[in-house]
Amino acid sequence: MKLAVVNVTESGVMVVAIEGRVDSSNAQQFERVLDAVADAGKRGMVLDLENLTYISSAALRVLLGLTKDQARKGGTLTVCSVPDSLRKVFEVSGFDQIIPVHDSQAEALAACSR
Amino acid sequence: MVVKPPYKILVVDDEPDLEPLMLQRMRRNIRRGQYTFVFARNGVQALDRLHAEDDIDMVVSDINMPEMDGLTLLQQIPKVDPNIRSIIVSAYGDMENIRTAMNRGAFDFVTKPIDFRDLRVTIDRTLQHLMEWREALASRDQLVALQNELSVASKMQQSILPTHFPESAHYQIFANMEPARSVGGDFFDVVSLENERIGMTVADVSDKGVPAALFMMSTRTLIKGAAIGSGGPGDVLREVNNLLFEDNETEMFVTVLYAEYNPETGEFVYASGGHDPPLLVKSDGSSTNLPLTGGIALGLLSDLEYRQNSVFLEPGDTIVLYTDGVSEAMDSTEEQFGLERLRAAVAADPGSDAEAANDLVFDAVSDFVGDNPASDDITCLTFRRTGGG
Repeated sequence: MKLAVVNVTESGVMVVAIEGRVDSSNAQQFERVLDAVADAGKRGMVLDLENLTYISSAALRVLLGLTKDQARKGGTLTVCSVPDSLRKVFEVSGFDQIIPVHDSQAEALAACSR
Repeated sequence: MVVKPPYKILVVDDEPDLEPLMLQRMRRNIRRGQYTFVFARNGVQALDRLHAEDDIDMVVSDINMPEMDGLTLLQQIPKVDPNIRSIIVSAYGDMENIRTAMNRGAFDFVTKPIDFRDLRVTIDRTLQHLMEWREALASRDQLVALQNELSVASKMQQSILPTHFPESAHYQIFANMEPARSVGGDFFDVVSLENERIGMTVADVSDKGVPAALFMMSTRTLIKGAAIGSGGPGDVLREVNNLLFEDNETEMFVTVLYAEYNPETGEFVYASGGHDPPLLVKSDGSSTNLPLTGGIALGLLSDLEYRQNSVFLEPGDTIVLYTDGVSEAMDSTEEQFGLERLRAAVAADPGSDAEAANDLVFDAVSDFVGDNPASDDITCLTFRRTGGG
């Protein structure tokens, strides 16, 4: 798993790209890193999942925690560029009804600024 | 347990003048809260104090004393507490006694007449060692506790799984769960309902460890309770979701597929809470994924409605409920087992009973992953309407 902050917009929305696998073996690490960078995303956070190959339920739980944190700060957590194989995970678990899923970074950022 | 200063030091010497001298020379360290001292006049008194006071960190002992000498005391200390460290005070140049003391477990020694600056350095070095030792012990205890926790969680998980399945002229049912090496959160359950109806659950809790196992147990109990006296799978999930959500501070959630079969009508009704839909394998070997009912995993949001869907089974039709440990099992090239292989495994021997068909799934997964260790629990439940109607 690799995580990189690729952009922080002028309005304070942070874009983070996640690569590789997030499963129960590294979900805690995933949570720590995301928590550490989340403070900088003052107006919301976009997770770009284009190069994510696998996401387990433990990782979804981390995203849920982050969604609640963002909501408390008045921001939103969105994901974008979800590969087809992972889109199914979001749909089956119902997480797409909790976390907005967008096709591209641009679309996600546009939604954040609304 | 890592103890913080002041460290309690037991000084053992038959010379009565040593007590005021020690307190006077060490007064700065005592005032700064680094050391506290207690005293004994011989080995017997020293052992009495060690038994009476379990917070003594260190012993500084003379060798030649009445009743019990310092070398004998050294042998007795570990029997009271193996984590106490001792410094021996010997006559200058008395290598024979010093050697004996070291062999009997003394950590260090100082010589007479006592150079208090040297004693202070020796005490500090001994305390440093003691702190490191205790930290090492504490992390070992944590590791043991962690292993205990995982094994407790694993036992809890196993204990809620049914080992006997209802027998009926109308259907066969069998299920199994193979735990991953690090505990996962899968479980299944089967519950007999009114009018020979039967309820079945396959579920996956989002975490591992004891809290997840407790969450799993309450989920299973709530489903059982809701199933008896409910209006069907959609109602069961709605009710259980609200109950799980109430006190859920942990952001834990559970994906559930709950289904009921009515042998009188042949109707199979199911609802999904964030779980993969059932697989239907017809008696002719053709198969379909039943449509998703669109519910969210349980425990995340309250007051949700859960839709249900139904199909009518014909004799010989098979329903397979599974967790993602089956569909996402990976071989060494990270390819997933997938639904096609699952369909093929279930349809491979249409004449078999439900137990044999269920075993075929586990065999196929095991053949597929090879030596690649399972990263998630594997759960599969096979339900078959038999020819008897």
